[in-house]
Amino acid sequence: MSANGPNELLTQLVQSLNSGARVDPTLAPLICGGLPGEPGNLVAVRHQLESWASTTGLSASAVADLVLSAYEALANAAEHAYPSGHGPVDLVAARTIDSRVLVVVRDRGRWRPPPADPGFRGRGLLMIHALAHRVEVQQSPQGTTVYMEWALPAAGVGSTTAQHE
Amino acid sequence: MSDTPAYGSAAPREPGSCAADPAADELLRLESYRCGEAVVVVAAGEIDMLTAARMQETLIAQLGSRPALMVVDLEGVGFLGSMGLTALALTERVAREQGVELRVVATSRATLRPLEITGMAADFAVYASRADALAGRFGSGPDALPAPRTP
Repeated sequence: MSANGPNELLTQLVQSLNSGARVDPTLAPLICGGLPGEPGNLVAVRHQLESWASTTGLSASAVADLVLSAYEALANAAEHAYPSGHGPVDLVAARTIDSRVLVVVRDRGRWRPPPADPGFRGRGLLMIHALAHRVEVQQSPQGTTVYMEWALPAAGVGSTTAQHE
Repeated sequence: MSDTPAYGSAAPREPGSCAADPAADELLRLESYRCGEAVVVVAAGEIDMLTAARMQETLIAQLGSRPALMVVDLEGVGFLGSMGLTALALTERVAREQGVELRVVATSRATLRPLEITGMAADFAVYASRADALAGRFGSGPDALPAPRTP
């Protein structure tokens, strides 16, 4: 039995990083763990993530893409994973020393199959794939984890050069 | 879970806290008015899980007055999630069934990007201003080119 707190998620995030990259020690990660996936909570996380992402060096448009993607992942986790109601969701966001910004959203339920009518859930995943530079969705009996990644502008942290446009 | 902070919905909103319960009414403001044969719904704020249903109710209710044209002005919208797109898609379907022409005003990246990446920008007549939408000029999308209904 593994611990399932937010710090464990950060550990998991660090382990998932490619090529031994580590979390940038100069920018504190954003960790929101175990919060009930209720719409009011998700708004608050979205606003907090926007503030945090604005300090990473990502362009304004990349920040907007990140916030929208993360919110869609949170909404999926909150609504999709728990047929009986709003279950707990975790979010961790961190900048790596090799100039990437990662957001990981995790639930502990099972995603229901998409409805026949492509509603917002189908659109949400479509949007995440279109907005993030890299996406990985891991599903297991313990839940679903969505990794999203954005590359910082090549000029380095602090550059305002627009990416991905 | 024992080491996890408690996040109750009644928790006060404070900076640095993950949990809060911001009032949905403050998050999205909706105003509707009649302009000749057209009804205009102006949305300002953020359209997400918390507010999309209210916007949808407003739009469907306004369609009930059977205007010739409905303009949904999203110029003041700073966040448009998939729930908002779903509300717009449903509104478009109801409008089509009722023979109401639907035009959307979207000017910022926050609204244009979600519409574009989901392909929905092709489903709506999208305009760069409320005046253009009312006049039916300079739009894009399937219904953007017909002659203006209002002089």
